Amino acid sequence: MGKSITPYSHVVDQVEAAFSDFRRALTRADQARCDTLFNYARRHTPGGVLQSDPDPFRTVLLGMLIELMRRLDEEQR
Amino acid sequence: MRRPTSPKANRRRHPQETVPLETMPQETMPQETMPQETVLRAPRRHGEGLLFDTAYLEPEIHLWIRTADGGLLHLSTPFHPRCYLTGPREVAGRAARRLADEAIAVPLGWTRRIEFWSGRPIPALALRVARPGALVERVRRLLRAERRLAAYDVDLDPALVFHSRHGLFPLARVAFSWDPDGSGGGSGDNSGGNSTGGRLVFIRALDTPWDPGFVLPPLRVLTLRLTRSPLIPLEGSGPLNSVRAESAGEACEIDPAGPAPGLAALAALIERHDPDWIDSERGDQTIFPWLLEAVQRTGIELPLDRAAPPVRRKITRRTQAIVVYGQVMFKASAYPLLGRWHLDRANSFFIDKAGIEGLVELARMSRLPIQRQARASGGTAMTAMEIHLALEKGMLVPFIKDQVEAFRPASELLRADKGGLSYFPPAGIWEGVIELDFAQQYPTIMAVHNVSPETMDCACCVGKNPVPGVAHHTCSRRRGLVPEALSGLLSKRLKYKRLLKTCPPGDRSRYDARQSAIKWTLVTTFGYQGFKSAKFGHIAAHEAITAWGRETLLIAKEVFEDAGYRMLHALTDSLYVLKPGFDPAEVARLADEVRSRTGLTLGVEGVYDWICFLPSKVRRELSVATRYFGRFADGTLKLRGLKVRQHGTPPFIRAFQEALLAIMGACRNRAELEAAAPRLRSAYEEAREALWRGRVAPAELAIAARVSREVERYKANGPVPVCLRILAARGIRIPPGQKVRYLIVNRAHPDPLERYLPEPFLDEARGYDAVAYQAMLLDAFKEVTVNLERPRHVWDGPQQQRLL
Ligand SMILES: [Zn+2]
Repeated sequence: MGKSITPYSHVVDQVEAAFSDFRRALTRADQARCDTLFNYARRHTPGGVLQSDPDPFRTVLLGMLIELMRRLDEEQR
Repeated sequence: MRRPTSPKANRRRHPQETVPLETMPQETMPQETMPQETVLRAPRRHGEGLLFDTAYLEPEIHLWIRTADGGLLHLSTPFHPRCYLTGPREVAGRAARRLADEAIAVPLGWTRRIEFWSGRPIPALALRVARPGALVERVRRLLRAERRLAAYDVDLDPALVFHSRHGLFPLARVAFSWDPDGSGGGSGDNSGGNSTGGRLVFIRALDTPWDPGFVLPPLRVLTLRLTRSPLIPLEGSGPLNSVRAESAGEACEIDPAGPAPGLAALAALIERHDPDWIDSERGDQTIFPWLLEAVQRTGIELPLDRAAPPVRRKITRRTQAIVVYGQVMFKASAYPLLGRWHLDRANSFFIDKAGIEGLVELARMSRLPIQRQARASGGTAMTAMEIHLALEKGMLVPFIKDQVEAFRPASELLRADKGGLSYFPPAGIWEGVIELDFAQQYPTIMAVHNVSPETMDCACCVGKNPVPGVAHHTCSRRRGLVPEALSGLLSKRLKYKRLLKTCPPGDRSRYDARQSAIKWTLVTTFGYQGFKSAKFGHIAAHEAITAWGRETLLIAKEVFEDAGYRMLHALTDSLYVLKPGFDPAEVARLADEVRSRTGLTLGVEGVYDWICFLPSKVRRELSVATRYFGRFADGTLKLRGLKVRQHGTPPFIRAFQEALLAIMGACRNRAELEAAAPRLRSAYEEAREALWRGRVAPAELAIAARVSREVERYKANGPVPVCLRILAARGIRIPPGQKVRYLIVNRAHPDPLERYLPEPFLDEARGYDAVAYQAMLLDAFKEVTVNLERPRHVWDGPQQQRLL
């Protein structure tokens, strides 16, 4: 049976769309980094769902940071 | 975790509680319908039997009872359900007079009934309904014109209300009394005189629907099938289908070119074998409408109904669109019979999923007549159970869903309706993963936490029983209608599951079909969409359920993480954890701890030798929550969400992927999987070879696609519209909701009509589009080998040119 789609994935889409002007000014290489960061944020859908922050950019940002932190940890190992 | 009320046993419906017809209040069994010649009639008779069928033909309820001697007794009695109006006295009174003027319902006077939301008695104006068929539309108009008016018990199935009032259900063992009376409804007796009509005066059930030991009586079956592909019509100018009937080894065929002899043979077959059950495939949509028209044309009598008053049927082929899971589905017209079951396998979710045993089980629980339940959804069964409980409690059943969401600030709305938790597993192959699942998570949550529309946010329990993370609470003083109905289903399913472990092998399939019917009811009813559209649905209740669902999943995660397990993945009601060298006894102990903390059973689905989480095609960094496959320690494979297994993929491609999965399923770990690469690759080469040498049969390459509209309403040249045009030109129409199967002949052909070839003309194919099919083959290969290193070079292998 169909699992319900959590609206949080749309929230990340909306935040990403809101920053499309910002992204446009970036170089190609940085645009790719920007896209990667938003995908990092998408990995933290469960946290975003539970927190349901009225300012979703804060949970989006935290999700990005955690993934960056994880990469750092992995590289140091 | 609190349990607001102890789940009450659902065994209160004792046969003794049923109301004898004679002691029913005046308005239900009015004096004026009692025949005057009572004294002249034959003496009253008493009997016992099985309640075989129930039908309401305004204004009478008709019952067909199977007696011990194998006969079928048709009895009837006038039946007037009741409905209620509430509102200011003069408003309700005025509406009641309207209904009385139009002879739709007769007011009986003010009484007190329990209001659904508050659970308190309120004054209500009772009416005796004379014409239930006309009531719904009339009341709807009255409600639109007068906002202070409310109506209850308006749109209830009269057969269900009758069953409920007398404690009856399909195939109940009943004791009854009746007055033999030729004029009492049995006048149309047309089945060889194995029954007599009469007037029912008393009936009660001798057993309950809760008894798992019930045994289906032997049924005489007549099968009715189309002899060719269902796409080939029974009338028209092209090649025609025909109908074949079979009963007890005797068969006949009705040829549409000259149906009279076949019809006469079918009539004789029915007379001779007197089937209890006409088991058809496409009876509702195709066979019956054509059969009844042929009967009209030829004048040949077909004794379809059994021991019944003559009825006229409206012949319709129209399919009706219904919305399931937010997706438009199509429901065929229905042809139930009187005193005889007509069940269409192509128009019955429950026969399809759980067979006749499952269907009968569900009909007994829902108290809906078999033929109605056969064509209805799990949601209808659930609603029927709730209606029965409401009627039993003297509760008013709301007519139109009228709850309005209370105003909530924007930040609160954002918190609401979050659904289940869904993580993204790390793509790749993992070894030694344990999968744990909550059994029947949502229904159990509702039963344990008393989640029901009327128990949400009550005034009496403010500050108690908070729902985690959302601004709701549940009532601890009143047991909700939905949890009560659910507890019954859950506990009955549990009984069957226990019986399955201990019963003799011969009984296994029966119990399994029954528990599966209940499972499907739970699954389809308490899915996201199901609950939203339910009669007793409520957004707050829905939010509470998913909130408890998230809470229980997080508790399970925490319990296992505290014990040193790594959580790889979690999805609504299942958890995937990992711990090198784990102790199975410890897993069992932790699952037990989760159960004691949540009230929900967390079962070990299995330990994977390896599990493969698939990456997302769209976003590289992400995986897909619902797509994975893996091998359990006992060697079985579990597959979820593989694309090739969905979307009407051709049998050849499916079989190819299954061959790959069989090779992978024989591997016990990652090293063996990597070592299997040459075998996977040669399986691919072999399939590709067969494809290019033209050795694959067209039927193996047929793609199935659903038709979503009439042929004229398609604009583009996609495969479905092209196939519909080809079929239409040859006299075949496929209604929306059905599927077409087609072969890709040559996707690049300039004439769209040459690109595809639909069933039933696949045999005319002189070739197929190997390029298109090779692309599918490669997709199927990639999907399962994506996480392996060595087969990768196949991915960019040589493209072969189109064969001439
Ligand atoms: Zn309360």
